Amino acid sequence: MIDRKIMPIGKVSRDINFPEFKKHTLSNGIKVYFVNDNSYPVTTIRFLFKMGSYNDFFLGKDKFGTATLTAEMLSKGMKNRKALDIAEQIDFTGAMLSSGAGYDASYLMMSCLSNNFDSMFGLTSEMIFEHTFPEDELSSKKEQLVNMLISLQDDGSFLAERVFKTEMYRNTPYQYDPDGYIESINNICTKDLFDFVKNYYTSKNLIIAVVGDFNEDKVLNDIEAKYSSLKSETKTDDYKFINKGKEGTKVYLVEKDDASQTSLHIGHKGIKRNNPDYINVSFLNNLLGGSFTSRINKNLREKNGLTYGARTSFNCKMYSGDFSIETEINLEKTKFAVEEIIKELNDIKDNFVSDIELEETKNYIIGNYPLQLETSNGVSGKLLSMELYNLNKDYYNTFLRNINSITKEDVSYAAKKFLLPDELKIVAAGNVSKLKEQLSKFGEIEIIDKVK
Amino acid sequence: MIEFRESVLKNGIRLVMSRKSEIPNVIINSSFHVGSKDEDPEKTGISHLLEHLMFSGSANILDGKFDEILHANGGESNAFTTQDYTSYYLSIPSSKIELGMWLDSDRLSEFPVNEEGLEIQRKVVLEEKLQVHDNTPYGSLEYESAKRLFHNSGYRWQIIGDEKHIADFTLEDVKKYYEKYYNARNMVLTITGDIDYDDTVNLAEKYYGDINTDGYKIDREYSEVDIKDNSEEDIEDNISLPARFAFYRIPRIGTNEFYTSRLVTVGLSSGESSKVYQELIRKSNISTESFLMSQGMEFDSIFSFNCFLNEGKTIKEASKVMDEIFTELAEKGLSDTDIQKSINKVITSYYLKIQQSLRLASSLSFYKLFFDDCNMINKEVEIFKQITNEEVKNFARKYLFDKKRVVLNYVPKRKVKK
Repeated sequence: MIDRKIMPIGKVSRDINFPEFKKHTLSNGIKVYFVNDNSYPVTTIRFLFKMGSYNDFFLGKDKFGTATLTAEMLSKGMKNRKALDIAEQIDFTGAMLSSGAGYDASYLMMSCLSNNFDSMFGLTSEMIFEHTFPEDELSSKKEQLVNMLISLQDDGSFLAERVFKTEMYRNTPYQYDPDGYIESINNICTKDLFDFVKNYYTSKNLIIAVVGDFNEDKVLNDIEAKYSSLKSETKTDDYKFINKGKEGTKVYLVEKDDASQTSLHIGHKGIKRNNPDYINVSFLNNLLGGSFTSRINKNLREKNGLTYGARTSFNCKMYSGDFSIETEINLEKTKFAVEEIIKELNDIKDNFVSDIELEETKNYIIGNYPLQLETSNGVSGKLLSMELYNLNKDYYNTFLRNINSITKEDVSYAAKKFLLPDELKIVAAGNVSKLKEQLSKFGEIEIIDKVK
Repeated sequence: MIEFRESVLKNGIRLVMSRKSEIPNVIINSSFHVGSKDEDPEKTGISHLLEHLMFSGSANILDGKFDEILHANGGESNAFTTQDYTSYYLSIPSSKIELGMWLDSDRLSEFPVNEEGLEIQRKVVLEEKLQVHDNTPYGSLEYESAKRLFHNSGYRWQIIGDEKHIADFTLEDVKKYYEKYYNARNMVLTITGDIDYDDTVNLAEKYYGDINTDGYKIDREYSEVDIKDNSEEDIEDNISLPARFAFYRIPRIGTNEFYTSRLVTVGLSSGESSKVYQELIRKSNISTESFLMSQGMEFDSIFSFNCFLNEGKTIKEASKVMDEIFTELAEKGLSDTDIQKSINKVITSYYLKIQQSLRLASSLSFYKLFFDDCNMINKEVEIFKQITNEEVKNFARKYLFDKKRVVLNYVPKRKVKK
């Protein structure tokens, strides 16, 4: 029999390196990343263009959703082939294709068995060069997007998030969601898509990553042959983000009278992705609300049983960012939950974290890191974000070392500088009459009648 | 080919191991052959509540410390409960495999739950039920379909259970349930990742070898009565757009018919070239999301056709197209292209799955638990390849045209103007 009272601690983990990658830059500026790994007969290729819904803002009229529609329409018709023929070819090889847009980037991604890679590479390239954006396909896609947005109106967490983002990024390019809005989607026509491609789908904006089992020389040659003709002239969209002054905490309520819980989305301004404090901030977030054992989840779920879960995140974009706390919380105890969240924010600002909590958080991040590198999807995603956000090329290789060297002073500095418990936007979707009473103590209340 | 090793511990725990050393982590998966269908009809939801309670501390692990210790050592954990089994898994750096086993096995060495943990997790589960079911569009679907598809067996209630039962569970209820089902002989332990086989057997014996085997005897009797012919009902919900769901009872996991049903779901509704996408989404614009699902279960499985309608479209229009798709399936089966397409998709998903040690462990546990055959992981693709179009047609005729189906039409709740 073993003595179960003794906890077997175990040795220190062996180090893990980020997979070795090669970077090539084509003559017209396209960046190409390769990771060759033949453990499994699968290969993933990702195309990333450095433009997204941020650029929708500069299209002049109400055309939000153009970046998303353009990316999703790439596979819906080519010079000699209809959408259905293309889908047949992809489905027949068993490949997985996806495309779409976020705030800062649009992507096209394909995973397939390695012996189909050549034909799938050819097909994805045709999508980029020879798409035709047929009218009937566009109207079908638009109808799908509009119906998805109608359906999301029933979802409290969606409503709370949209209101938060609108208030957080008001009048900036990040105010508008990549998926667009019912009215704006209806304004988009094929010419908008062709213009979008012409202005932004350029060699200057393109990053390609190939990860898996493939022949590097051949694929590099193929990429050069296909992509060296892509033009580099790119429309630039400059916007100056202005730091707003102090506004104090405000409460926004959205009516969802059938709701038996409150969808809570609380937050304030954050940082952009390549802020040098990013690593300290993400460490702080991990400990505060980024995992199951983080302070806020432990408080609201494990100590008080008010929710199935609560998480925080710093959402860092190219030019700006936000800090958000999201949870579906007990309706009657919403006020108490907000008080506890504010208490946690103040506590981590006012007090150093203990040495133990610091070490444990390091172990958590370091120990779980390898799982993010297990799949070709995971590795290719990291390479692309490194290039997109202009991170140091050693970023992922030095990541563990940098986590290891974080001190409690660093955490305290990040908390003091980047957590703003007196500057919150508290958004709650649910039973407004009950919430009004509970949340008025936190700040001026605004009722949002219609969420776009 | 996935390589694996098996062993049986002294107390009867079935151990499965698969080495995969790309990253320095291991996955420990403990799965128990018990789920919501095994519950007392007056105590539904106890399987899932116990799953929550297994993380609240145990004999040598203070309340709430399970995940804290695990995280502090570079690990992560989670669990899930189905109608038929309950699965716990954790990942941890391979140099700390003993710590992972210690944490996982301590809660199995003696009943780990106390009153305080029960009170907290009872509340958490009630909030989970609000979040996942009661307060979510179409969230009552599992509840509404289960009670119409099954009338006798424990498949007739939803996994999360009845809120009145959840509110009433006593510590004694949970203890009885735990003692009956969390027995060495009712579990499979699967370990994948950066491991050495011989060391792992020794360590498993050390930490799991003393887990109780007393009184192991679980009888499962299963019987069901036929469902009503063509039952079709409207369900009012807090939704903006209607949806139509057609459910069918089909044979259990492991049968040829069940594999055929999986081939049909992929062949008819996976990818934009599929019949379901083309007919319901692309050509008619009836729907934005439509798909077939084949949910495998131990004694009977559930096959469903799910169609979420677009604004302005009617249930009648959707049902006409849905029925036509099945009529054609019964007459012609799948085309050769669609069959080949489905097989190729199965192969691709297989490789994407086995890249992840977590999913590999879960699959191995499942195969061992229900088929006593881990090699199923290597045989499944072959099984799909053997299915003939004759079998597809027979499946459609026999199960999708048996009139015995449950159709639920979700419609927006009529609002009373204030």
